[in-house]
Amino acid sequence: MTLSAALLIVAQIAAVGTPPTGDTIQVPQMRSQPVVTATTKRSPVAFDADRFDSLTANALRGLFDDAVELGLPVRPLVNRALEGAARRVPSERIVRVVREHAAALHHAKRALGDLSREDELEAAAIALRAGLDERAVEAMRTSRGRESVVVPLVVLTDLVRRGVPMANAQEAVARLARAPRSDDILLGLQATVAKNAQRGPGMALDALNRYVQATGVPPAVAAPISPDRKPVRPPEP
Amino acid sequence: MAADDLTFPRPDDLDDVHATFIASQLRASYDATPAHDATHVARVSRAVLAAAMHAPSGDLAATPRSRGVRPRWWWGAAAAALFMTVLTRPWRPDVAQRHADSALTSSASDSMGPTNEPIVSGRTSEEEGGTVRFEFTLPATARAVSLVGDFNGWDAGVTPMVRDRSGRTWSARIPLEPGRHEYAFVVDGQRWVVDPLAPQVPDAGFGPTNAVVVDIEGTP
Amino acid sequence: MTDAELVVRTRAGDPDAFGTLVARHYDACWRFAYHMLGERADAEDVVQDSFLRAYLAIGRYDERDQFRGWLFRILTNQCRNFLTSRGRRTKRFVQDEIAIESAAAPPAAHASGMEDAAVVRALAQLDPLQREALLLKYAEELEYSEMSAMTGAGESALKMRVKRGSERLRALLADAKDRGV
Repeated sequence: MTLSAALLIVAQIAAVGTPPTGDTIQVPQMRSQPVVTATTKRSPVAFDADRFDSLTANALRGLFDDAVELGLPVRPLVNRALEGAARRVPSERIVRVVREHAAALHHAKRALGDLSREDELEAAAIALRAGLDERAVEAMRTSRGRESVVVPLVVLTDLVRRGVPMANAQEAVARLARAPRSDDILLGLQATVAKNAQRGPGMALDALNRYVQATGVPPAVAAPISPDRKPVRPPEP
Repeated sequence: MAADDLTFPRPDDLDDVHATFIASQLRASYDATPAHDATHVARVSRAVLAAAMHAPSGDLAATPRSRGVRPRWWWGAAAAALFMTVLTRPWRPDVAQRHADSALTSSASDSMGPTNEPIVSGRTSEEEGGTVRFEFTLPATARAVSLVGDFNGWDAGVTPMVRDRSGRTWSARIPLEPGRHEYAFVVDGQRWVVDPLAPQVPDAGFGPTNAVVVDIEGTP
Repeated sequence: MTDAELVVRTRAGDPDAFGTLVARHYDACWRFAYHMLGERADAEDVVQDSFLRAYLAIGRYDERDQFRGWLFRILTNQCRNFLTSRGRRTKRFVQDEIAIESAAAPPAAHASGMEDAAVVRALAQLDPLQREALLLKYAEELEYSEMSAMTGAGESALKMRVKRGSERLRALLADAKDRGV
């Protein structure tokens, strides 16, 4: 291979990509009727096949079909494919990302249950890929009951991304998630940690601890919530 | 005798009567393929290493990583690409490579400028009737900024943003269904940028995006 | 030394470690590429290209995965790119002509080590996706789940390709045998 050819290749290289993870979709035997899909009120997204070459479009359709078979929402997968096309990502990476996302949705559905909303599954899939384990996701569902788990999951994913160790982040979110108006409190935690994480290593965790302390929400305990616990003070800005 | 001790043909093999024949043909052909001598293989390795040395950017061409380094901020796509290869993030050192095509991605640790004002910043707010207002501020004038997300097929042509008088803050208002949405900003049709302080969605192979949660019905 | 250890050393900048990885996996990669592409020179180019890409992406290799599988992912993609981008049609006919000429003198074919050129020639006449699926399933002996992870296609689609591919390959081989080539 000549040097110029090698340079050309190198110039074209977008990430070759991480290898496939252990998660693959096991396609079950054909069913007589589809399983209950996630309940969602979202409008459907059209799969614009023209944005892909035919090989890739076929591969993607195969993945969408597999997802329907497994009772997974297809809309998030279509959106991922469209995002990849919009970013002009190489086709093989688009297919890999969509496939891995479908596998993550599959695990999310297992952890959250069949009647989860589509965006809960999305948030859980992202959180699982960020390193959260399934049991933590299940626990979140249990503690939230019928309330949406989207905000706790979004906040948790972000905290970890900013450098808060997983255990600390999980504990803080579980604790705050049980407070009234928890969504606002959790988003406040995210904003505070995000701002402080910029200052250097260790600042994210520090900010998390200070914020949780300031809210006055007691630590999560195994016992069910008692109705007469301390009122929650709004966090300091 | 346990069932595991018996080797039953798998259903796949039974389906295709001729599978064994084809398999044996292919394996025989494989076995007939000559091995390459060590000189040839060594030559290949050297060629690969030589080509990689001239790579403009690559995992192994980057300077050695050190934990906790805070890079300086340069403006300009070329400088930003170099910047990205020396960027370190203690929890994801390998992610830096992926961000090379987004000059302003400041999931980086430092988006504060010399006067301690944020260089890139965004804001979302909910208005009446399920409309969400997105704001995005850039340090220098861009020609065009679009909002892209899972609500418009990530198409930069659908939701162009409007610039304010200062020329640095762009905004758009769109109706969004309740729940979680992902979004990003596209600057001058090419660079994908995220709001550094808004909740982020980690890179799953394309680059990071932001997430916003519009009030979900029934949530107290 | 395991592949994972060699990867760690390669990342640290040890060229000998990478050389060892190449030596370890070269033949397996070349075998696949040769059967996919039908020509030795093309196989050599694509394999070298794949090792280059692997080297540049070595930072993203996840040690929990098999190195061979990761490398093969790159290799199969490179083979596909090669086949789609270079207009293989004309080349294939040229290759067939040469193959027919050499088949007329069987001892020469044996000496070059290409005894089963008939198989490679027949493979070249298959749809590339079927060819790939056949090789991954029967020659590389992967499970369908592994193939799905590697190619991004659903398992049912892959099974169909293997089924159709084997039928066609069988017909091609029988036909070649009848014609004495």
